Amino acid sequence: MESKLEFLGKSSSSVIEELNELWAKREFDSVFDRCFADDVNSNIFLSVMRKLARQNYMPKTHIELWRAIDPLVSQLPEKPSKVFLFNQTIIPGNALALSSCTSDDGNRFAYLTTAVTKLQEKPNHKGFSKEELKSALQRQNPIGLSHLINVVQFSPYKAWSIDMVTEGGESLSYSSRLLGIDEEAIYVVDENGNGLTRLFRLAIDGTGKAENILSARVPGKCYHLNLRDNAFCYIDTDAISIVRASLVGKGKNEVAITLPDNLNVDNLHELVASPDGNTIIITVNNRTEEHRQVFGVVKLEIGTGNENATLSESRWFLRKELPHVRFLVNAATRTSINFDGSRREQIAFYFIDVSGNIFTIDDAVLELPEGGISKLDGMDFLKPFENIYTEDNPYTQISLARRVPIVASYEQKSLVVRLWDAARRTRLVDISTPKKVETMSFMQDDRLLLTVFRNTNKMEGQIAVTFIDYILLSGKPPVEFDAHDLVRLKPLLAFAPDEAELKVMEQVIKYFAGLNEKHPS
Amino acid sequence: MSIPNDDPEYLFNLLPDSELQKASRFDLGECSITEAFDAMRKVESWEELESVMIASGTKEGAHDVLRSIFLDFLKSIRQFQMENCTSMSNFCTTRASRSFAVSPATLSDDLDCTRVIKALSGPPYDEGVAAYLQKKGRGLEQETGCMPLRLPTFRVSDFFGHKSKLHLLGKLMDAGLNNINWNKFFESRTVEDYKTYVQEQLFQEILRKKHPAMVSSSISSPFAGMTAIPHPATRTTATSLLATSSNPLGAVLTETVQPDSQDDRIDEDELIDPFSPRDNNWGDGVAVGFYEDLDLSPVFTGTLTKNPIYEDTMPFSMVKKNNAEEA
Repeated sequence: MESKLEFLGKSSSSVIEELNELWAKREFDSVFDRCFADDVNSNIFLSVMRKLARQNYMPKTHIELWRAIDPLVSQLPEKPSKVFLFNQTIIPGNALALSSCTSDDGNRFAYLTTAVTKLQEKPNHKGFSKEELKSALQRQNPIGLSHLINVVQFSPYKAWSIDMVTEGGESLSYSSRLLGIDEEAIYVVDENGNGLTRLFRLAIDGTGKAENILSARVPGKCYHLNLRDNAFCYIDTDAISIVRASLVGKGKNEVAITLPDNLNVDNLHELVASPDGNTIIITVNNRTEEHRQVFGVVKLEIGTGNENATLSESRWFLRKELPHVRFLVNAATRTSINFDGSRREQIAFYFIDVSGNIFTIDDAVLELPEGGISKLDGMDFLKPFENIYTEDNPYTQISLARRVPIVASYEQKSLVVRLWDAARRTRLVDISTPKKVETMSFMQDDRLLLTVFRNTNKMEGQIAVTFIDYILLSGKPPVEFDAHDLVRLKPLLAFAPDEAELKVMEQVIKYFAGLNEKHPS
Repeated sequence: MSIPNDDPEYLFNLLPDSELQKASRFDLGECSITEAFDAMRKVESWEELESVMIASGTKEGAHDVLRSIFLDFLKSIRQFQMENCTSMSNFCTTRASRSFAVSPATLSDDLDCTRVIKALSGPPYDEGVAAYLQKKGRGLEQETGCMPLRLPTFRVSDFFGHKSKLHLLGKLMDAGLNNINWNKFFESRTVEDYKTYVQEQLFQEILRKKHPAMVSSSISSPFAGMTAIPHPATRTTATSLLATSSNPLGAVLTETVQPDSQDDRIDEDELIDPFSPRDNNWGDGVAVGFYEDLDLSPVFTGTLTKNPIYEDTMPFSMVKKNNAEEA
């Protein structure tokens, strides 16, 4: 499926109709002039300019612009470049992820893959060993083949692979999951099928072996790694408790939680903790609507040394209290940016519902004195984004940018990735995806959206990269281009200097930026 | 076996009696197409695969064809993924053996050629191939999947020296033309000769689909004597007509084609543009001239006019500059 973009700010359906009509009448001057309105995005602008150039058209106005773009527009392809939307060849390595994670600062990305050759070995690698090739020829399951973690650092750019071998010489299984990465280590959780859950820390430079931080012979679920709080949390499904393990001191303590009568621990869906670790939200899998609860809030008191946590307060919120919410499929927490007169930043929890709608809870709301949570009124603190009125989805996903107020959501029913203005809670653009998306994350100063596709009947998903600046430039009317857009364009040009679309866009931006500087609106 | 990094012709410059050739178990050139792929599946190491290539790649024109088959095989076993490469192209570029360091365009061409060669080993082409080979008294006998008969089939070596024509053959196949003239394929002296034949066939097919009544002997060979590029106006007409006829050759019809012999030449004044409504009496209703429809149906619709998100997502360098100015 082709990637299509629909910008939600101002419709251009009438302008397309208008341009087609004018063209049919061969009123090329009117067609040209019509492109200089604010309901024509830069992509439509370039398409029309390309067609005009093919007619050997010479405009009566904006001649300087025409002179600059005329030699270039004929090189424009009929359809927009695929280089900047879901590009599947940028990420080094085979870009097939069994599991992946990103650092909190968005500068590092790691993925677990079934490759044999390390990235740093590739130039000198002589090929497979006999056994490896035999396995490949027989199209074997990756079991038994070695697997690696490919690490990509964006700034300064570097890519390398590290082994997944423990201190005892054991290779971690391909079903291990990458939970997080920081400047020093990658954290991997491994479940060996015998009820043993282990958390490993691997040095990011590949030196040394995987260090076992935690081993627990209990069935666990809802793993959550909080690198700001240096803690790893999960739910012990036997004891029905939150296990909180320190990544620093190796200490571990369990906080028993009480579930409502009709709620089974197996139906707990996801655990997410605030950066300080004091507030934990646990969502309930309510796809079949058999439970009355939507999510629970657990407040902890964390003692000195970041190790002894005790339960302070908890509450389970019911569907009847939250009439527009049923099943919060995915949750995340990060700094939220609000505009209520002035720019205000605070920690917030973000959720995406099974319908694709987004909700937030400000962490400050939950920092009430003891007993305060029980007094909260549902929808007063669960704030919705713009409602999109969709049906239930088989899968939804949310990802938060770190520095800019953008949220990305994915909705599987219509195979759409949406970008939202998180500050004003409005939708910006719908992007049709070529495949089903498993996870998304913003990288490199929020200028890249990294998606991992879900490949049918395969364990690994293909990694693809989308350039946010390309999307923003494409949705802007050329008449509004200014000097900032040139700065926005430069990294794209550096990445793909031969892309005709960018070369034309550069000339258009330069022209309008100059014009707007002379005659500011 | 080590692979020398500084010899781009490594696999193909060894003598026939080299040790590596002795070590090889197959001669891919003497296999049928399916046997060649089966042979590659049976080998157990990269070295063995390469030695098979070496043994088979000493004949003229063998390099290109064998490389195509070899790359297609490597792609089918997804070796580039095991080698931690993003794509086959990336694999070919970074692989230590430079014999396979091909550009993405060459790679795409190679894979397309193998697609064509593979297609010939099965229906609907197998019977035509068998008839041709029986007539010529050559070919390999191969048991077909669906019939107990043993039909003669091509050897891989039959395509040595003919690789450049394979993409044109692919165009005939894509157009659904199953009755391939193998004499034309193997006996065309140059690619240009074969291109003329392919263009004729495709033109006939387009006519058959669009204007069945127009298929007659009077316009059966429109390209046979064309020595000049048609007038720009008629060229545009042809292009616009082709746009609606889904011509698999695209704009190639405007290219100059050399005549087969002096007898085939006709005067420029007598040139008939096969796609011109005037010349072919197809009647009115077809646009003539440079005009083409706008047909604007962009994949990016709507705008973010005056949206504050542009301020909020200001590139980092600009934020730093503005902060410095404010300070």
